[in-house]
Amino acid sequence: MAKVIIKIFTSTPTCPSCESEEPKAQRVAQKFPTGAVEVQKYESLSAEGEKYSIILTPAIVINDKVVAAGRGTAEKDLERMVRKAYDVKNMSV
Amino acid sequence: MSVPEIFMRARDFLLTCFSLNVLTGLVPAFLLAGALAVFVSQALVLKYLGAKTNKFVSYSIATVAGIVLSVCSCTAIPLFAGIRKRGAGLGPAIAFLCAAPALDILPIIYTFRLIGNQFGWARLIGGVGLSVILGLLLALIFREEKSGINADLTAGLPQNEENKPWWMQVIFFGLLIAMMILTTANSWLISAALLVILAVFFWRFYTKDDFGIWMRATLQFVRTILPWLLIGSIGATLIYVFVPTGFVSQYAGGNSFLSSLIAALFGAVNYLCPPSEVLFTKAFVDLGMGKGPALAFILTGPAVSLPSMIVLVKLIGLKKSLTYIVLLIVLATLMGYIYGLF
Repeated sequence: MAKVIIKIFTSTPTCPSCESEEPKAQRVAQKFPTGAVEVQKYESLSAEGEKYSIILTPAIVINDKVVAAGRGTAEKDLERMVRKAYDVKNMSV
Repeated sequence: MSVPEIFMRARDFLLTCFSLNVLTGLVPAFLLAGALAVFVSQALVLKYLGAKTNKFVSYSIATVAGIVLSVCSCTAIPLFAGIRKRGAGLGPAIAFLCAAPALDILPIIYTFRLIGNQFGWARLIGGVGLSVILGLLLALIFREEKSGINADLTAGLPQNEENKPWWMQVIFFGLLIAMMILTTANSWLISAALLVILAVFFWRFYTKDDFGIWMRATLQFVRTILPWLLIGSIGATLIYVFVPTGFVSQYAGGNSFLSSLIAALFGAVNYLCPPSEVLFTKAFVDLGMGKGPALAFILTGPAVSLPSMIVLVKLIGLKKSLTYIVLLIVLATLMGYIYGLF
């Protein structure tokens, strides 16, 4: 099934605003069919973070595109972006 | 001390920490912090941070960048790593690393309101000086004097950033800053007038979405800062009530070099989440700490923390990290001492 992968990047040491991004992404993921949206969490300084040149946290990547960096994202905005990615993926399948 | 005396002292101190003058400065400060975080172009700042420019510009931008880019204080480390990795700029990277926590908007404003204007300026100027000198020294000592970075730091940003025209930003921030400076316990009329002008200007030129984003960022700041404000005030009150005055003035009273050093060391050893360092400094000052040592303390307090030092060692190695910490303490001591001479 066409999948949307949300990658969340936080820092060490972290902070409350960063830590709330992953639960938020999980809540958004649950609004889609089971297994359609996957949430992964990474450290900003990891190899994965390097892949996207992440230097501001919290950062969110949806299907390999950076959609947010250095600022928290509203849940409804995140849902909108995920839905857009989901629709694009499912149209091209 | 008798129990009623304890309560009285505690109450007096708490009233100072949350006085009307302080609170009226904090509300616009939160709004300003939120606005800086969302309305200033991250891409623009990062572009200048990564550009190959002369030393003066590099270090200036590095010092100021923290104010704009650090919505989350935790972003200082990855940003430091990014600046360092994508270029040879150890100096500006170190300047940024020191400036990001030192020039945190809210604690600075709180310092002005709670401790006083002169001390506030000392902290601001001291923070800038400390960051730049630390950067220059480390670059010199470790022979990485290339200060131009010449890298694209904007790669990790969303590509669709929309920005308001520059004149709109200038007026908006001008109004906000004026409101913050002029709102005191006695100036309701001016503040209310400015607030109305700001509201009208915003309503005319910005969108509802903008307002939502701004308020969310502001609330994010409040959520991060408020707990530490409360915890810090409890801690500072306990210190004020129970630490003997003689004890403080013996070790950190007056303005000798030794007092400043002791204060700087004490600050470095303690990890103080902003804005609690302001509260603790106020308590110590009220207990007899000299203004010089107080500055040294407030400069080192939020600067060094065990978790960030561990990450720093992983990024630049033990030797550079230790040099950083030692120089930070020495410079803060010097600055405290010099300030104490005024």
